[in-house]
Amino acid sequence: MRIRSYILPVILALLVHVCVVLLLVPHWFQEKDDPRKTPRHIQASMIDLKSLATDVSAQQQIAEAKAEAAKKQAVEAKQAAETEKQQLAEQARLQQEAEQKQVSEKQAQHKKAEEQKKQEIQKKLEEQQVKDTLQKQKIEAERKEKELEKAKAKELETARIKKEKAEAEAVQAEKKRKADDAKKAAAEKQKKEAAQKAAEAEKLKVAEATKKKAEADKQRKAEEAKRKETERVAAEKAKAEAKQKADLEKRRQAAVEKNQQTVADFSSYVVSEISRRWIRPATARNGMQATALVVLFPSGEIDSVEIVQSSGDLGFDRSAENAVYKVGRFSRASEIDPALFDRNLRRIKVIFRPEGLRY
Amino acid sequence: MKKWFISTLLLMIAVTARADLVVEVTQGVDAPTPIAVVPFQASGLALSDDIAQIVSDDLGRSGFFKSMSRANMLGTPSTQEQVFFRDWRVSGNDYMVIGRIAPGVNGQVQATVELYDVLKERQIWSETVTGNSNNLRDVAHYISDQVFEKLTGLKGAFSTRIVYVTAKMLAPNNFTFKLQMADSDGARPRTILQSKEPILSPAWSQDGSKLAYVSFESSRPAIYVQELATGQRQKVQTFRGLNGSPAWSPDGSRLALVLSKDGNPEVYVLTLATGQLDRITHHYGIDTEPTWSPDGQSILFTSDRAGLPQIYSLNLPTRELKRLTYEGKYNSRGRLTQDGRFLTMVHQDSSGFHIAVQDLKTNRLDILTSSSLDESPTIAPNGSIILYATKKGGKGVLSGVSLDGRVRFTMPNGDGDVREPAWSPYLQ
Repeated sequence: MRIRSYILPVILALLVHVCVVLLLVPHWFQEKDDPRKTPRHIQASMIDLKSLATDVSAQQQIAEAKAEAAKKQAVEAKQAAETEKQQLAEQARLQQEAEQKQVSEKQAQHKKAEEQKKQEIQKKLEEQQVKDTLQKQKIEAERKEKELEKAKAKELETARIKKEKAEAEAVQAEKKRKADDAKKAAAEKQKKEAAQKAAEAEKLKVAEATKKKAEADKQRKAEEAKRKETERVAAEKAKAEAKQKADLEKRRQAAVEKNQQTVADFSSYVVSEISRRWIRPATARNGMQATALVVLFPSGEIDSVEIVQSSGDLGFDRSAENAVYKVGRFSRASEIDPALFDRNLRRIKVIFRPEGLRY
Repeated sequence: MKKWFISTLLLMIAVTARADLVVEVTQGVDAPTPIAVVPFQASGLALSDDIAQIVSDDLGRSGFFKSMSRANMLGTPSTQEQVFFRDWRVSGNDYMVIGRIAPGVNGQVQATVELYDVLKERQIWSETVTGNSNNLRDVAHYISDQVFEKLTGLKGAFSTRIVYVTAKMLAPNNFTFKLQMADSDGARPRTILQSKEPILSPAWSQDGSKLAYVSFESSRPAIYVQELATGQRQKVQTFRGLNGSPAWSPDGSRLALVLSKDGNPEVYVLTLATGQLDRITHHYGIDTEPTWSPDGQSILFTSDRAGLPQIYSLNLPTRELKRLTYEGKYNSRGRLTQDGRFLTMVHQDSSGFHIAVQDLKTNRLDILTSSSLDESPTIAPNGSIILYATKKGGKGVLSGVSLDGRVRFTMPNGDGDVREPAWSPYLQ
């Protein structure tokens, strides 16, 4: 009882759904077929515009040649038709003329015959024989003429046919020739085009090769130039470095020389200052030697004097010490670069070794 | 890059390396060392001698020092506090001596002496010397010796003595000869022997206690040995002919002398203890004026065996003879310094007889004097001074010259002609 009450609503519901589905189905298909959703596939091929241009022009030329040939053919056909027409007309005319001639000849013959008849009547008696003979002859001549004419007509016909045939043949030959010519021309053209193409291709190839070569050359030259440039830069750099080094060395050398000169000058100065004050004692002997280590302040004043190597003679050692102390201050020390002074001149070993003594 | 690195490294090393500058001084001033001996303070004392002056003179005479004149002194400090070294340095002194004398016990005096290095402003030596007020000269000479030794390293010879002979003509053919002994500066002479006959060739024994000399007092030349302390004397055996030129061996046991007992003067060695006489020269030429080498191994003498007087050396153990002098026509009276290196002599050149010294190491001969009648050189025991006899104003005097010839001086005039000096060894 309860299930029954549901059947109708279920059917209705199903119907509604089916309706909806049916309504939607075309839309689905449309949706499906929407071309916008399909990705565009583009198939492209590289075309050499130049060659394309050449092809286009070649095709054009071919088309033009074809058109020309067709035109020519049409003209020629027309001309052939006309010629044929003319020939037919001529033939007709000739036939007419021949007919007319025949007629006229017939008329003339008739007339002649009449005249002859007249004459024959007139002369019938006189010249019956002759007339007969003549008639005979005339008939014979006429027959002969007729035969001749016939032959002539036949001959003419034959000639005409032959001519026609010949003309047709000629036309045909011409056609053929033209066709051959066209074919030949086309072939030649094709050949030419092929040759041209080949030439172009060759040219292109050569150009390509030349280009490639040129490019290679260019690249090689560029590389060469680059290499040269690199080398030049390196050389310049090396040169600059060498120069810098040389300059540095020169400066260093100059500084060293200057320092050496300064040291030498100062040494001479020290020797001079000390010599002036060194009282060589009576006990001093040639060959004696004492070494004093003199330490100076940068001002040139004496920090200390110490006998580091004794002569073995107290008086001699004392005299050496005193000679240094007596200088008091080596004033030129203050004029010397402090670094150089500190390095080379602060500590001076003064060797006292008398020369020129009596003993 | 690598090179740069090395260069930088080397540069750094060069920058950091400190090298001593080495210079050589070969020339100098050959002059005495300036010293100032400031008068000693002796307040309240009446002293017979000026010690400071004696010291100053001693040092000046040595040839090693030049003493500052008192007149030039800016002050007379007697203590360190009073010394302004700068003043003394400015006035050119290397050293200075100050002192003060105070009375001691029993009439003695005490001299306090200080020696300063003016340049270093440092005291070198200081001592208080006690002495009798009567022999202040001994104190002074002692101080001189000390100063000399402290400054030169050589033992001072100021406290030594000299002996010499004076001849005083009392009347024609009447002379008084005296053997006299004095301080090294010629002061305080005292007579050891007086005679009317000539006295020659005094010679000191090595210990300074005895003198040997030649005296003609017994009408014949005879060699005597006299004790200085007692005055006791002994006549060495006398031979016929010439007996002269005694010379003590360094050990004092032998006496070299010249005898002509065998015909011509020859050199003999007499052993004093035994009286043994040993002839060491055998030549027909004159061999005389012997002297011992400091080591006692050789005897030097003058000989004309080569025609002209020259000095020879005879090695006693080997009897090897060696001629030492070649320069000049006349070289005689050789004497050696204590180190055996220098030989002093009387050398004759075109201008006369001079005192010369020959360096036996190099054989260089130097004439030290310019006077023309020099004789009898004798050397101070420290080898610094040569004393000799010469003529000055027609009178015999003693003069001195430093071994290097730089300093010459004349001794105070004695009584009469002075000749034949002999310098004592260091005295005990």
